[in-house]
Amino acid sequence: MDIEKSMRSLRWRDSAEPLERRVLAAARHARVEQRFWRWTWWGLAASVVVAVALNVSIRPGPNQSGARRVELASSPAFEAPGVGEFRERARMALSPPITPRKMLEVLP
Amino acid sequence: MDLAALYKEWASRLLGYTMSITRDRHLAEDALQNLFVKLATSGVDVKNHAVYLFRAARNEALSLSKRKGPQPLPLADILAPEESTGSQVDAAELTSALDRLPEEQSEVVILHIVEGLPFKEIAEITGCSLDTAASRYRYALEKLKEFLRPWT
Repeated sequence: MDIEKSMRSLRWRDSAEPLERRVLAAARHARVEQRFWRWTWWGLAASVVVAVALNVSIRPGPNQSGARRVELASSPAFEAPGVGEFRERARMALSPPITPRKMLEVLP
Repeated sequence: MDLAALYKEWASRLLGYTMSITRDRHLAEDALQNLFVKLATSGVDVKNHAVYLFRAARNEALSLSKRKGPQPLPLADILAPEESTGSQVDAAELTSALDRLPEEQSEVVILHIVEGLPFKEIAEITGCSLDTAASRYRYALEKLKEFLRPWT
């Protein structure tokens, strides 16, 4: 009796062909969903990075102006004619008035 | 990875194998679907198709077979004889004898004889050693001979 030979005649009774459309559709749907979420997370991460970068660059300095603008304005080469004089007058106008008490403090 | 080509080549074999584990047509279909969903989303490059696919299918089937139905399918409903093979033993007796074997032995017999896989690959699929796979097969054959003695 050759059992192995007899058993070699056995084959799977059912075919998976009728399931092909359903299984492949589920697999493709899962793949699309996975890509969607992957791109969504990457997009979110990129927007966070951009937002942080923008926030850092536009954040005002201690004197309420951007760091780059302060640097440019402090250099006389970047000032238009008359701006320096205007700034000096503005500074004088905005500075607190000199009181007699302050004068006494300054004087020797 | 071309899923359609992979499906055409392997799905029927994997479905039969998962049915032999779950003993339930619907659970086997679910296991097959889960397997292909994972293949589609994992993006793994399957090098040894047989080992990878059978092992993955086995894992899916085992995880689903926890909710096995009250009336498991007999192997006679899962395996059928090829026509005009001139086999010496009746297919119904053969499948019923296979059903009487312990699960791990019938699994090795099915993978070796029906699927034609070598013991090395069977060992990788079932997670046992090569010697264990071979000895399970030897014990299974001895038992089958014993079970089938009255019909030969």
